[in-house]
Amino acid sequence: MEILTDFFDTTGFASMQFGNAIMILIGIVFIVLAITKDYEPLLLVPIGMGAIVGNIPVSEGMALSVYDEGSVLHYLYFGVSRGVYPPLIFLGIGAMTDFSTMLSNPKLVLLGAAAQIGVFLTFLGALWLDFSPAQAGAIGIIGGADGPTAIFLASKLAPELMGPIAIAAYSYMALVPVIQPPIMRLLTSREERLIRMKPPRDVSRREKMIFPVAAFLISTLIAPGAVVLLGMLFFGNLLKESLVTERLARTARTAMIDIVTILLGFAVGASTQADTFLTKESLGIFGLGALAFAIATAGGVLFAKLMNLFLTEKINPLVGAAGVSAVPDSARVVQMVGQQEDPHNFLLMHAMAPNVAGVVGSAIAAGVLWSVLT
Amino acid sequence: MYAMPMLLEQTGPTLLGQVVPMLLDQSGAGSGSLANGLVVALVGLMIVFSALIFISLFIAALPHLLNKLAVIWPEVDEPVAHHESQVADDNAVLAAIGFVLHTEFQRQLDSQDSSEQSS
Repeated sequence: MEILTDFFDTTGFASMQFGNAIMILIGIVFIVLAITKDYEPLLLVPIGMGAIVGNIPVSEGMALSVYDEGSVLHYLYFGVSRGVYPPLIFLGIGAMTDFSTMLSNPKLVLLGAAAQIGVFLTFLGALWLDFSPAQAGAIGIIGGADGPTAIFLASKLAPELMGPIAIAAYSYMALVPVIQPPIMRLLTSREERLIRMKPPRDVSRREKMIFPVAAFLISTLIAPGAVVLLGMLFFGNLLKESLVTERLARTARTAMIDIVTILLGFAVGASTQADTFLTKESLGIFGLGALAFAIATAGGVLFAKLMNLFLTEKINPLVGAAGVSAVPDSARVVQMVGQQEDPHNFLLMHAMAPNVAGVVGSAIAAGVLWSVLT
Repeated sequence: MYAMPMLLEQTGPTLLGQVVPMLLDQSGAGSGSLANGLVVALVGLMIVFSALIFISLFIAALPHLLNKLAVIWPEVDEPVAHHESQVADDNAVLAAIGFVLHTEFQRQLDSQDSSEQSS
């Protein structure tokens, strides 16, 4: 009888707390949303399952949780805590990104820069809510709308906020089609939304091959803190565009990125403990995250309108919203909103230019914040 | 060109890395001073814009540079490439052609049948 009692004391039922139960429920909700509503399933399914696994109470002395030295989860979490997984994901992203639209119309790159105002204004908002500067920097990067970048910077500046930051970033990326359109319509007139842009020019093979190396050198000599993320991004792109490493590029954008995504999502979910997630700081992070996306969208649209004051060939201001680097969702939103006004106005390819420029811009912003706030 | 290294030393993360800690130390980083954060935000945004402006200028200049380079080293129309990816594309193209042909033949047969029935 004593043996049974001792055994019962080691079960999860005996040590389950209210916070664990809530987190397991949250994990189930993520899985349901991912499967039924198609909300970022590639991330929310691993994160949701990881949250369930990570919140099963374990008895002391058994190295099972993500924070226990020697546990399997701890080794998987190494890639998150040390910022290994995000650069590998950027390698895959670079191997699947086509920078042609950006190369054919370079002024659209500035819209990717303008959208990063969401990062820095959110940083100020987090400081106002009494987060520390390092925490504010990690929260601000949610405005970059780039999951790997958010996780990378959180691991460097505020690992204790990794869970809510990652979940806020990916949740709002899935909600881009809901958040952006009202802001885009509010800030533009019907005449502006009807602007048609000249078709992009053809880009030569040499331009596509030279661009990754040159862009890497320019951006990282100005902001060395971005060397890891941008180095992998442009390396992946060079693998793709060189045409002599197609096998490596294919592996990077398929098997490798899928493996790392599984490990990253699962480990982030497993690290989401009740005592760090179910706090009022998390509410503040979720609120700031929504604000970040809204400000970034507004920043891109308004900057496009500002550029139009000086340009003879006008930019459709809707394209500015694609500076929010949720690739390719925000570009699709631009296409959708544009076609609601004119079904024959195809803005998708134009919107891809600030979309991919935003990836570079958010990585630079992360590098700057990391350099300054460490 | 000679001023560039000095300018780079005095701008961007180097200056930022020197000035901002001084500001944070003076007024206490722990209190999350908004004024200090504003400095970080403004300079950070300036750095992001600078980097992307330079990239944009480079992209704009690249076709002209390559045109000049093409005089010495002309670009070939067919780049060196492994053909394994084209093999997969050929199968997809053949399947698409087969589908179109089948659909077209079916349509012609259907129209032939309907004209025979009406006569």
